[in-house]
Amino acid sequence: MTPKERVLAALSGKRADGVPAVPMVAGDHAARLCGVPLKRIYQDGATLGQVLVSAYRHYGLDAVIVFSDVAVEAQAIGAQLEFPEDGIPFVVEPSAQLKVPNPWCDGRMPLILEATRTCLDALEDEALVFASIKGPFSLATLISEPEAFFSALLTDPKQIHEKLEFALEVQRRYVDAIATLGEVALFVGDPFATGELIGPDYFEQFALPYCRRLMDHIHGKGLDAVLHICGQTQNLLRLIPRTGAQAFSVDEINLPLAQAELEGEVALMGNVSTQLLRDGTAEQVFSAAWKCLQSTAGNPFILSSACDVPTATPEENVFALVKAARLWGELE
Amino acid sequence: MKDNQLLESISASVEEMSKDKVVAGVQYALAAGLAPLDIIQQGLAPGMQRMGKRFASGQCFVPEVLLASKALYAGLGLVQPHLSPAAQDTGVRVVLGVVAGDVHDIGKNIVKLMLSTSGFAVVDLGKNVKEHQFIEAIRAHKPQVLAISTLMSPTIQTMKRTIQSVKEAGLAENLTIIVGGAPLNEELARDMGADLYGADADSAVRLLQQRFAVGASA
Repeated sequence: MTPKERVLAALSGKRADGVPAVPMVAGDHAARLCGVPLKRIYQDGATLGQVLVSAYRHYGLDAVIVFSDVAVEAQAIGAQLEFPEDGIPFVVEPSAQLKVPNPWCDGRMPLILEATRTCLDALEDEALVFASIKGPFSLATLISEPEAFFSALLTDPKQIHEKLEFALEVQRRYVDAIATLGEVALFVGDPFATGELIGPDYFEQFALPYCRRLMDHIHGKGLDAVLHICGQTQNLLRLIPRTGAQAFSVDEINLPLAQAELEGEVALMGNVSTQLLRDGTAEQVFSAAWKCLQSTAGNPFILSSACDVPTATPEENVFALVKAARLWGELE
Repeated sequence: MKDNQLLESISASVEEMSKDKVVAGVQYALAAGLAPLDIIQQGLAPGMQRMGKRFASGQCFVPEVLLASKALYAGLGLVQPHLSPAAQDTGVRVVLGVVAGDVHDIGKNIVKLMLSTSGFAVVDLGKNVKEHQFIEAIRAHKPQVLAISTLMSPTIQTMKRTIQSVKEAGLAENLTIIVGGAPLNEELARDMGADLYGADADSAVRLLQQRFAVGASA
């Protein structure tokens, strides 16, 4: 079985031979690994693609996730970003206007498209390439003043729905562009739609419907999709099957409980602590990964990190995560 | 209405996130001659603290906390002109900011509000605050407390570097460093050299009150 078949099996709800290992190695960690200055992956799509392919090969992963930072779409819409000398870019000013960007020429969307193409050129037959995009709720948050946005969930839902419709339209066009590149999948990150910030009621009212419509659009293109939400999502689990995602990637939540809640409905992905990956020993990472594998045994599962693998994670810790998946596969 | 009932109704109005009711309650209390400090410490602040506890236990979420804090601000705005400057002062100065690379300041703003209502003098540096800005502010304001927050995990390293720079600049003596924010925990806070970790706004205030033996039982 190729890495691609292994991941596709998990996404279609089947238990493959072995558990795929797809820690969220983003551009920053991959660039560090390859000795490339961080700045370059935010300027050059081919370089971003190359470092991600190198990291995939170096660690022996089962898929590539094309991800640089959360601000790509917000920037294309017109948000002002700051690019620290040796750090990850972030939004400093929300966009003044709401114009749907053209993914082929606005902001760094073209850079991500090029990086995705670079990964596909190198790996299309062998591994699934995920293009990472934001969920509509998080994109709407990123193009707004956060305090005003979160207050308006309660005081001005109509304005929020308008913004969400806009964010959904941005992402549909982005997906259309991504889909022309080849056989890709989507990794939809919705970090602000988290249970600790908005809880299940707001999630159901504002995040879920737009996430669902984005997923429907993705599936309409014949593509697969994973949903990732950061932070506590225990209180959202019962709603996750309705998002339409084939797999749900979880942060540091109780995996056995999540497995019990989602069994037979949505495959899980996760969730080795990012703090442990950065600061722990290889033995500790292996044992944490092993616990993940035990608590999802017999179910479709993708072994991963709880969130993005931190820039400064030691190589041996990523190797330890992958090793756990391989050893588990041999024992099964 | 008895004084304590009146104060309790102000607390309840903060919890109900009703700016109008808070304003009406505070106006009534001031007219009835209640001490301005009591209105803050026994009326407004407990309402916000209860809100903070409900948030921490997942019974309410960010939108409710924001609206309650707006109601609280409205009440504070009415009381403040009636306060004698020394009445609530703990004598403890706090320099507060969100680290560079992070522009999420909802949590920081709530901490600021609750510290101010508890009598701490807060110098708010805002969000996306660079290391040198923290250092300059510490030199200028000579605070007893440095409070730093971040919502995002990539900026944890920036927080650590900020604390190191403050220590290397020789400014950490007689300075209590408290950190907070969603991706942190006790262990991370200790590793990065912080003295205290505030899991939420309420505990941040309590820890600082204990540290400086002020306000807690007032």
